[in-house]
Amino acid sequence: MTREIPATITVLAVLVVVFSRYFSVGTALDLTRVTDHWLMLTYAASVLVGVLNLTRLHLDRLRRGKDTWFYDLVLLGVMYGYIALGLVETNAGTTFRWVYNAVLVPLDSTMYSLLAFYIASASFRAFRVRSFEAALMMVAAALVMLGSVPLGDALSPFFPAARAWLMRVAQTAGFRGIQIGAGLGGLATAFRIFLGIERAHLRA
Amino acid sequence: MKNRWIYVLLVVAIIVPLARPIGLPVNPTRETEDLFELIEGLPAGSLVYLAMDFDAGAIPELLPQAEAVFAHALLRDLKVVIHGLSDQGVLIARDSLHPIAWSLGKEYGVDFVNLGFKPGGGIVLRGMTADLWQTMGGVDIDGTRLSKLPMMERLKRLDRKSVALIVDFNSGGSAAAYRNYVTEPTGIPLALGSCAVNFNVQMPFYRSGQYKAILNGLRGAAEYERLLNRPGKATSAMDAQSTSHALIIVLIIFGNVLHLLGGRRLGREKR
Repeated sequence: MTREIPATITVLAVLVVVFSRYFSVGTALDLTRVTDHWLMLTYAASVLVGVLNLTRLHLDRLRRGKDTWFYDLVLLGVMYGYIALGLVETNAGTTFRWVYNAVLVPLDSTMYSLLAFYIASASFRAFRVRSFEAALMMVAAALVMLGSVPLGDALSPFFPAARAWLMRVAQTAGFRGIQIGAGLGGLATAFRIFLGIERAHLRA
Repeated sequence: MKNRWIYVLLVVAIIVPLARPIGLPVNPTRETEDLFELIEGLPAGSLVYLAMDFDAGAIPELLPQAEAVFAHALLRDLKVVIHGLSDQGVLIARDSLHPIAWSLGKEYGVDFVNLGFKPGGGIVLRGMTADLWQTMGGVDIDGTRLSKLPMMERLKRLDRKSVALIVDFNSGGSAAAYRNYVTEPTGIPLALGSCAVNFNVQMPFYRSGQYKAILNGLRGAAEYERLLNRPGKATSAMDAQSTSHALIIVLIIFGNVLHLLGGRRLGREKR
């Protein structure tokens, strides 16, 4: 039953959406609006499920006395503390906004900025001329990097022009192929799920 | 070469030009000029919809873009509505864009409105094309009733008649949601503010005409600031980007020289 019920719900959901979008009766009944509202409520409810799941996971780790108990405690404290602050102050509250701007923004920006260091280190090690293709990729990467910054403009008009051609023509052509392939793959997977052939999401 | 030396060099390459700017000029690209000209061409009073679909991690790249475009729209006497498929984007807008509007003497509810965030992604957008007020629960970001905001009288739903342009500042997949659920069905022109790392992903849609313009990361913001003649955060950060890119290229060359020398030595040892 743990497989049949979710599979049936999946098939019914697909049929309702197809009926509401492609048949005049479905359109007249305005079923799309109903299903859209259900989906929005499901999204909102999934946040609650996420919070409950995190709570259960970290409470369990605390109960078992794992050596990460301090981090579990911090996570639960921050999560419920911030939820409580939001409920009391709303998102317009001074403290709520201060916590966001003084803690989350710098942390999030720092995480993203660290990528620059990894990229610098990785490019030093990875971009080696081992073959013709590798050399081609390295030259293209160097041209795009130099053509993307004012230094490239200042050195020669060739760099921004080369970057523009690589981005607008060469990579666009390649990426279109990838996107069309991914789109067709997505459509095929949707059919497989609808027909019950693909059941990985049901752990079957 | 140990990682720590690469990191030290990169820190120096970023901090020195930030402290002592070189002032290299930023030449606007076609993709940025398209957005500037689009906004220049809108009649006063037209409504521009800014989608703040990014989190704090993308602030350095996307917020300067949003600030420049928002200021441009208000300077042109356009009306601006802000919305976000990211819960953080609309809060960032409240702290960063609203003060710009007040500094230009604009009034909340008359010249600009921040609708806030609703979960649901593309489904929220589809709901907004049918009934924006109902989809947003009839309130803005602070819970003020939309009926009390005069500007909202002319925006009951997202359609071509009400909205002249959508600019989506995004660090993820929200552009696809706008394409699929709003701009393709309604015909509203769509422009994009993209992180540099996503720029190549979005380029095919610009080339096909589905995006009227794209701003490319921090450089796109700096180009827009130059077109607007209002140098800001992005312009001052471009020198640091120049030196850091140059350093990476030097490192790549250095790595290859070491690789070639190592290969030759290995060959001699084998002989």
